[in-house]
Amino acid sequence: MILARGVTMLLVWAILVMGLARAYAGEKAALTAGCAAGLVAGTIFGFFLFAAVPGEIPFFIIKSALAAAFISLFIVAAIVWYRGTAAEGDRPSVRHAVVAITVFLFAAGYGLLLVCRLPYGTDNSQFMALLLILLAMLGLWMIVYRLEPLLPNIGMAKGGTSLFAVSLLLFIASLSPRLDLFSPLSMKVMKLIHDFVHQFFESMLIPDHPFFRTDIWNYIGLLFSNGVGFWGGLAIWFIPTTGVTLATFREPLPSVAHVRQAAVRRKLIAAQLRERRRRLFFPLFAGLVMAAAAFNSSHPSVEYWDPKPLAVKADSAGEIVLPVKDGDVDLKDGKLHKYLYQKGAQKVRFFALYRSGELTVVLDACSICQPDGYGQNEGTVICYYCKTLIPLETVGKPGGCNPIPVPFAVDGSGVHLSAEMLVNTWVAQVQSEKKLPGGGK
Amino acid sequence: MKRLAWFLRHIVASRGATPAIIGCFALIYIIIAFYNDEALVTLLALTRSTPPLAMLLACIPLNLAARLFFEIADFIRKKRLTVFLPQETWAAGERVKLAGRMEADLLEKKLAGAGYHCRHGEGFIAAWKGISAFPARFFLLLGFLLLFSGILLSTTTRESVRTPLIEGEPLPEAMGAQGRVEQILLRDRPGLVLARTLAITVGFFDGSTETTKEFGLYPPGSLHGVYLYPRYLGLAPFVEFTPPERAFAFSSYVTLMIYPPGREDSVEVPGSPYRIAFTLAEPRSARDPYSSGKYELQFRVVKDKAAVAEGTVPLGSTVTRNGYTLAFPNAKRIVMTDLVRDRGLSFIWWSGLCMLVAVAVYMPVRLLAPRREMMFVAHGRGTQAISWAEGGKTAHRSVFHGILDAISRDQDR
Repeated sequence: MILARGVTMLLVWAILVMGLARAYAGEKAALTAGCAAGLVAGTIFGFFLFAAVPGEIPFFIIKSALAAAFISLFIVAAIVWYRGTAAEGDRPSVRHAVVAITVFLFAAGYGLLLVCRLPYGTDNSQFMALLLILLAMLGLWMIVYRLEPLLPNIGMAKGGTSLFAVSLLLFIASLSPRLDLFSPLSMKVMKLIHDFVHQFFESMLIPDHPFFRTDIWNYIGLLFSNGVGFWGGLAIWFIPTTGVTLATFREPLPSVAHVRQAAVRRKLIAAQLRERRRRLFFPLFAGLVMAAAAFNSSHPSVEYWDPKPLAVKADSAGEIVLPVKDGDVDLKDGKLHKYLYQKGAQKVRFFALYRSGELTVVLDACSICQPDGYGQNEGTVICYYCKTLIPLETVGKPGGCNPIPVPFAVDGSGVHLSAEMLVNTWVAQVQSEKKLPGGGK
Repeated sequence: MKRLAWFLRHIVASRGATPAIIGCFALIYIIIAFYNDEALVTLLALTRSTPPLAMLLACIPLNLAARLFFEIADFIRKKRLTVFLPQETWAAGERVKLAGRMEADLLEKKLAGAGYHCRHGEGFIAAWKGISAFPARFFLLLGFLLLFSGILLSTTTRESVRTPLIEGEPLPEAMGAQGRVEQILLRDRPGLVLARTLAITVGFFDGSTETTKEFGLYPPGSLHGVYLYPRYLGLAPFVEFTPPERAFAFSSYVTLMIYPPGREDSVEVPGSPYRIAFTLAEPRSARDPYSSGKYELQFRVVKDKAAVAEGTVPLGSTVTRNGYTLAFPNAKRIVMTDLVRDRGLSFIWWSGLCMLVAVAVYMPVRLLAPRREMMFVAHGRGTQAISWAEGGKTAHRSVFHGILDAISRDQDR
């Protein structure tokens, strides 16, 4: 497992350095210095961060930095789109310092992610980091000074360097659910679409579902269906790559109107088209890496605790009672305990969880996603639909992709819940049950 | 004055201003989304309450208006030359200087042979083919101008009050008119989008005269600039409840949001330990109970936390269970309504129409007869040739190069 992680990280490093070496072929010294310094600085900073700041905060900081890098790709794509593209080699040579700083930032990002991928807290994590850094340095020297002249002559599209490097960093992040950006993006997109449709209906004074034709409403319902968050997220995920690719593709060819021989004109145009196609390599490669990152994100290789829901019934007063300890079931064992309550055709799944020294009861669904339920892993529960990780200490708090809390009371006989409240909360708040945009009544 | 003109042209009418401002709002949205789950609602509220943000939003319609103005001015100016050749698109086209002077008649003949219309004046020949996409662009820009003006007005000035309209009851004060809700009628009439119609008939009394007005679903009816936006339906049954302890007897209209059938709402019996939960029963016929007026209420009487009686009572009936009597002699329909004052709404409706026109114009023009232009201008002892096309670029470029070759050959001879 650890070996596979190390090999993956070294492979990504090799690809990153090869791309950078192609982008800054004439700046070998600056490239090597920037990469080496960035890798070491990023790794040291990573260890310092995890040692100095407890809990999930280091992951939040690194994830925020990744999000900022991802957003910056949109700015790069917009600039490339509006200004038109040109081969980076055609531009006046970049200053050594700019090259060094640029590659330093990319390598530092890689170093930070390298620390996140190591089994932090174990005795040999620092030894492993040192070993990986040494191997990475060796690879850097080999690629920049030995392999680079053998690499095919591929021009870098404008904006292609940052696109390429950030896509590799996002790929590494996608290997860890705590750093992954694609799943939270999908969730935010789903929420945005949901809110937008709701706001659009309200702003345009469009009546709600009881007045709509069923077929038309079913089409509108597609906006709240399973795939909308994923496909919407995917569309946004690929905007920078697509933007830079299209900008390169629609780059105007230099005029050949001054050439008076048609055959020469055709040759010149063909050469320019070939050159333009070569420059598409890095944006398209970045697209592939982003696709791999999205795939990783959608198929996390972690197993979650997800017990089969126990059927429960309400008494004549409409109350459901869950004993705190009943045979093998102990609500205070720190694991989530799932239950199923059924009234007529309406099924309600909910779970009880003991965390931070107290019990909480929540629906097995949130108010944003389709109710695919939650699974538990160390320190977190995961929403199966959008793959968002929810820290255990925040389970029971409303909002976002957190499971919807349910009012309950605990006494000596167990946990008491109102069946009516349970059904009404599920019907009113769970996504698949909402009949109106925004979940109006 | 020149500086002002430059400022207006390059900053206020900049192509990049609107995308940049939208980008700013997107960035603010992302930042809010990191910390708040209701990011869109928060962003709208923030824009409404923060003057600098509202001013930033106002820059979008300003920029679009300026662009529309300058593009119309450019179009009119260039139309006088017959060809349009907008300056900023020259980079996308081709320009070349030829050593010799052109022979106007010969050139015109060759261009006409390639299917181009020609016009020659003092020192220039212009040739063109196809229809300009400018009208489509005009409608598109106008559409965006109206859209963002509407969003600005709607975001900053919208007022909304939610209030129930109950059959037989006076209009709420927020309507700004005196009247009474005469009738609420829901009919099953499938249309293109909606399956039903809702007619809220309101009677107005103005001294001696009595008039009525009907408010429908869409487009929503309005009165004195206030739109009446029906949100959801409810029922106000007249309920007579008599428990064994007669001191707790209760009779009144109760407002219940129990439509559509299956939704539960409850009412506390004042001064008693009783609560009655109601559900509208699924209709026995295919007709919706709200349309047919044939209601059946399912009820459950809860005393403290225990259910003491439950059953079903149709309209006009009385039911007794375990000593508890529930009568349901009458019911009024309710429409929960938002009274909305929104000056931006009509702008947004019109923007949709403009954008539809833009698409309807652009598609056939771009596909069937895109605009292609050339211009040959005498330049000192030589000729400057300019070519530009909105579509069909490869064929147009080939004709242009062929003409240049021909001019060159003629000069060599």
